Amino acid sequence: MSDDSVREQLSTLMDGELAPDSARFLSKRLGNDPDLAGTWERWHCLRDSLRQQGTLAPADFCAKVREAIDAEDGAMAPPVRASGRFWRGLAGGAIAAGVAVFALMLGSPVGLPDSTAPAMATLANVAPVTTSDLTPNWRLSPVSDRQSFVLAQPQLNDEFDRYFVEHGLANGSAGALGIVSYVPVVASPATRAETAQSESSGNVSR
Amino acid sequence: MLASLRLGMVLLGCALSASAQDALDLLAAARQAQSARAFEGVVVFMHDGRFDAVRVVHRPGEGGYQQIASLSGMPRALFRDARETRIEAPGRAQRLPSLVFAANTFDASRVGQSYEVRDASRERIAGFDARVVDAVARDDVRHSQRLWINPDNGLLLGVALIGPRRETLQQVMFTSMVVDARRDGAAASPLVETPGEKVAPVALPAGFRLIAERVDGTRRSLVLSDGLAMITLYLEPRAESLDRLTTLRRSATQLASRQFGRQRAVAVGEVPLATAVDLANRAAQALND
Repeated sequence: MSDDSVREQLSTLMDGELAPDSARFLSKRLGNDPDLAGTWERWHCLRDSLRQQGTLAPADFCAKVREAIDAEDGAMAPPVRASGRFWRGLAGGAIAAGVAVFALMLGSPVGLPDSTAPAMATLANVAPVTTSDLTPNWRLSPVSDRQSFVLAQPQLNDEFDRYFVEHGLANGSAGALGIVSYVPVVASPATRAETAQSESSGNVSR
Repeated sequence: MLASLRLGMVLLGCALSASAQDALDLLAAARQAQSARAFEGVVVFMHDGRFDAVRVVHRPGEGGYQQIASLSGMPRALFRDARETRIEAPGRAQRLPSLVFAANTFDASRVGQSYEVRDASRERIAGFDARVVDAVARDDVRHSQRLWINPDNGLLLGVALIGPRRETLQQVMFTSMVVDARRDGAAASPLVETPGEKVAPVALPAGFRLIAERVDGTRRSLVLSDGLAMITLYLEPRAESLDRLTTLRRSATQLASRQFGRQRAVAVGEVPLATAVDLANRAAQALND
């Protein structure tokens, strides 16, 4: 089967229109073909971005960073003569902090000053976290060679949200792992309805 | 020389077997502790290249309850007692009846059939010395798991789901835990009796069996387990006639929905996509036969 043919089938599978036998074959291949799995994940990411599910930084991100840098430069200009090296270092730190704060603001779902910013922390602005970032004692090796595997953005779908919730609850009740099975129900991205509700509340309060 | 080699092989085999049995005993103790020990703490949930912090309170026994609240991201909380489960978010609350299954998905005797279980090592987690148990999937129908268990009280301190390329798909780890010895009690009585060996209406993925079933109007929910992992299969009639397959993912939980005519089968579980798609396809086909 040619690459084009496989990609065409992958596209059809994403649209939910691939015949069951072909879907089964392709999904098995997805599990064994890292390149194809990567394409699958990238396409999902792209699809979510096109649907504006908050996977990318806003279009004016670069302009805002530039403005922030210009503003910092302007504010720090006068004292440079007296102790230039010190203030230049401070300005650099402030710029870095400003960019970091801006990135954090992008990742925060509540109280965003810009209503066009994404509602949740996303892969575009939050670096993948490894367990070693949290506590140096945690080790995942040797079972896992990679500490954090980034899949495509979670997808929101009103029609199927309740299945995830109900499965999570059943898993918590009957599952082998007990209460930790409830954690994804609470921590996973909110449903589209909740996101809309939160954005609406935020707009009112502003 | 040959005799020494044989003896060595036998001793090695015994050691490996003992390690596997120890690991299974630990898993059984972990399951037991969930229904007997009261504790609270903070867990970190790592998924999709991000992490969330969640506060957990677990009080088993009579009048017991469980409370899980997100400490980062969207404010959400889950409160569960014997009567109901409430999920709350800003401006939104969802109430569902609490279901307690008499049959538990954990089955030490069957876990060994689907996973190679071993007592891997020891690590310090949330201030406790934990034993690390690896449950390595024997096939591509399920994911492998790594579990961190406190050997002193059996409490689960962390669990990671490991994908086919040995990558971590998601991980839940306690960063702090306080065990409340005063609140320890017997397990709550099951509300929903679902015992016995049931026969599923569709061929199940290898190693999985039906452990519980719930009928809600025209909709059936089947809880399937291989002893460690779990899949929920929903079977329901639909008003509109379609021929469609839909796949979605939340963290490491895959969803495959297959509608064939006016019947829909939805498989949800922490399993590979192929397993969910395969099951949904087979179930939808069976509904139409």
